[in-house]
Amino acid sequence: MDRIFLSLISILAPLWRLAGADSRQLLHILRLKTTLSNRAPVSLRSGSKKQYNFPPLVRSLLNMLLPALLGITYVPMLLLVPDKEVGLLLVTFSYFLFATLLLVMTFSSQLTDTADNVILLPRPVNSRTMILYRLLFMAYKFLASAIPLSFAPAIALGIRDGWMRGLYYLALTLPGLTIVFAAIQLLLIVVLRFVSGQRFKKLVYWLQIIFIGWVYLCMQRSFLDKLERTDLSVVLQHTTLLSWMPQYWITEAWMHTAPWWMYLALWGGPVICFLFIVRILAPKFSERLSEMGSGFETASRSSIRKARRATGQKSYLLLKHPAAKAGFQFVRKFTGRVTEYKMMVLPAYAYVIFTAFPLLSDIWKLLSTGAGHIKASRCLFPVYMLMYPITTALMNLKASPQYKAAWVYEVAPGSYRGYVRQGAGWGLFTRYYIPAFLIWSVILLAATKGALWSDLVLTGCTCTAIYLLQVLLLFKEMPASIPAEDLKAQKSQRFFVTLLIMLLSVVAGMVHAFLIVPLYWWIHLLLAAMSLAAAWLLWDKIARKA
Amino acid sequence: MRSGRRYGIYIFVSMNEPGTAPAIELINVSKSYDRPVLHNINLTIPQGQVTGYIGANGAGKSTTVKILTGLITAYEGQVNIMGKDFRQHTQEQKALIGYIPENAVLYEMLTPVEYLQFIGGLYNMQEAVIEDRGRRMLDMFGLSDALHQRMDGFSKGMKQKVLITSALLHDPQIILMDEPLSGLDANAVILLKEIIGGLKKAGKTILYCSHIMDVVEKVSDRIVLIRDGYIMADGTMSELRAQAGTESLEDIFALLTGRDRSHDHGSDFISIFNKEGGIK
Repeated sequence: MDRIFLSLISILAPLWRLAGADSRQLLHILRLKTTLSNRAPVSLRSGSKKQYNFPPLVRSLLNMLLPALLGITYVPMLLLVPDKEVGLLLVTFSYFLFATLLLVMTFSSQLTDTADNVILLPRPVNSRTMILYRLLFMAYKFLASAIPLSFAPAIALGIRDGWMRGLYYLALTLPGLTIVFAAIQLLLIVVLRFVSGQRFKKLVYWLQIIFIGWVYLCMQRSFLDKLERTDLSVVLQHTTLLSWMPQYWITEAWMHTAPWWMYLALWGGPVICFLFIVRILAPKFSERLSEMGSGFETASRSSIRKARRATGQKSYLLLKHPAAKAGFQFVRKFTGRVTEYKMMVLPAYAYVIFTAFPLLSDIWKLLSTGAGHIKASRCLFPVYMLMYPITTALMNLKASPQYKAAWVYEVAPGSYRGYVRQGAGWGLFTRYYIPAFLIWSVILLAATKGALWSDLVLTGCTCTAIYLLQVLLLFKEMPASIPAEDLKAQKSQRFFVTLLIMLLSVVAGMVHAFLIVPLYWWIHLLLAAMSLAAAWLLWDKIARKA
Repeated sequence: MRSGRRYGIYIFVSMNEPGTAPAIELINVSKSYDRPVLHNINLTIPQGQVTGYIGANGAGKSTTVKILTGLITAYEGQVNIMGKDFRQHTQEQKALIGYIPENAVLYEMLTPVEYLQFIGGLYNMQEAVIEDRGRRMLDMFGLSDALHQRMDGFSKGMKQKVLITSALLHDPQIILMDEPLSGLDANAVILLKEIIGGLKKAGKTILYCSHIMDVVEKVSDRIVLIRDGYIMADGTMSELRAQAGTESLEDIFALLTGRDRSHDHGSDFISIFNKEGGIK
């Protein structure tokens, strides 16, 4: 994969020169970036010191595996919708929405990554080369994650309409995704032109929040539900915006009904966006980048005020030991102030909303009409899915260099370390789970007129127990006591551990939804009491484990 | 320069050499983050001079160096390198500069040889030249056994040695050193002092930022002291001694940064732990 990418960069050297970049330096930097990316160690098991350095091909295949499996979820849509064109448009729309989500949530922080400013900025590398290497490397990584999502639909199309048609769809997704990538980067870089570097980081953070809302509204209110039941020509009459979207261009191109300008837009769009960014916006971008890598980020007054409030919280009173209170205080302040950390955790909520969309739509209908029957078991499921953000928060806290630098755990006497861990874990839970749980509970209780109260009590207690189990198992060693190399290896562990914890939450959610919901309320409370007892034992165990 | 008067004391001796273009020239350079960090700095460093740039923490030393390396591009005033405006000829002039940062930031997944190949490549150097120079320089620093080991297992000092090598690899005319001794062992410190002497003989211009006064005193032709973004003193060691009326650079530093040396701060510090106010 890397070789193909680098060969392509080499072949297209005249284009990079036309953009004003130094093609030799560009290739040199990209070769380095791919080497670094291939050398990041992979550990397959949590806590294991054994690291694997897979060959690049195996590494690429491993990276493709999960998106390729996710892509299978689009196949039913393709096969069940009778109209070929409508089915393909639905698939492409959902696919691109997920790809955009991936782009905004995961890749937006990479655009302004300043980790190697000190290495590259003092060297004679011009601003156009600097921006181009970032864009090309990000595009490569993004496409490597997003294209496998189309494997399953392409195979399904191949089986249904012939292999060439399947391959043609696969080929069309490449320019389609590139245009989405280029457009979003263009938007971000234009915004960066008008705001300072530090403000931009916060803006991207808010952009992510806005995007979560947008995803939901888009799915709920857009033409997707219209598409499910009407003819495409009718939808087009009502939604002229559709004809400006690359998803539609791909569908039309696949059907061989696209006008010439759609082909031109598909292939020419990314080139124009890239040229505009590199030729026009590059110098200002470099200036902003240098601002971000220097100076200091002052904590905003509101974040300091919020952090002060940590001692006034009811949850704080649960902690008796001074070391536990210190751990709690530190985590609350840390999570409230470090933008980079927030940017890593926040996307998890977006993924929850995205995945829970079909379930959320029921709630929406119920609240908007004020009548109807709610499928209680389905609506409880997102509460279990909220374990994903808290798991992400926990794993990223362990890996955060700022948290490691604070040496909270190491300075505590041996017998107090468990308490520090307890307080830190509780601090995260009160920030990333309890508020979301309460909001969702209020919506559910309002929608069901209180019918689900016992189920919600059970869900809250079970999720608390699962979370505390996670703290006990994964917070065995605090960051400061882990060597830097092991900490790096944990980056890849995070993925597998997160997957396992999510699996446990999903199983708990499914057992609750299918087996426990129909039971009496007092059985719910009995089970909740058992979960709470388990949580209490775990809570105590965490504190005592030095 | 004159703004140093706000503190009631300043020392200034003109160092401008007539004839050749100065290696570094800062004209009314100012920089602010949330608060002003540099105030109208005017500084001219002739070619071939070793200038010690000293000041307390947060005085503006690193900010000045970052402006000179291109790490900070948004500043007021003008910077000239070898007589040309740095903003207009950035790439050309960056090639003349070697920069040793305070913190050892490098690509730790690489080996020293790979890292030097990468850095040398950015200066369009031939691979054979990079290989030869790199090996010889790393050998001098005692890293010949670690040439092909990944740097993620290196100590801070070992990384600093690779950084110094990478900064000098392309034979720069101007060398900016920001606390270059950070993490180095005693032998490496001696070696670096000798290297600075050698570079000086070879006519290189060096701006040396440090808190370690005795090293600054030994290696520098000229000392510039900065405080709260203002240049407070500028002259050779003997000139500064004569004007300040004290012998050591430490005393001059204390005098100009407003620190009272007659008082025993050690006792005050210990008294923090003692409620009675005395030393137990």
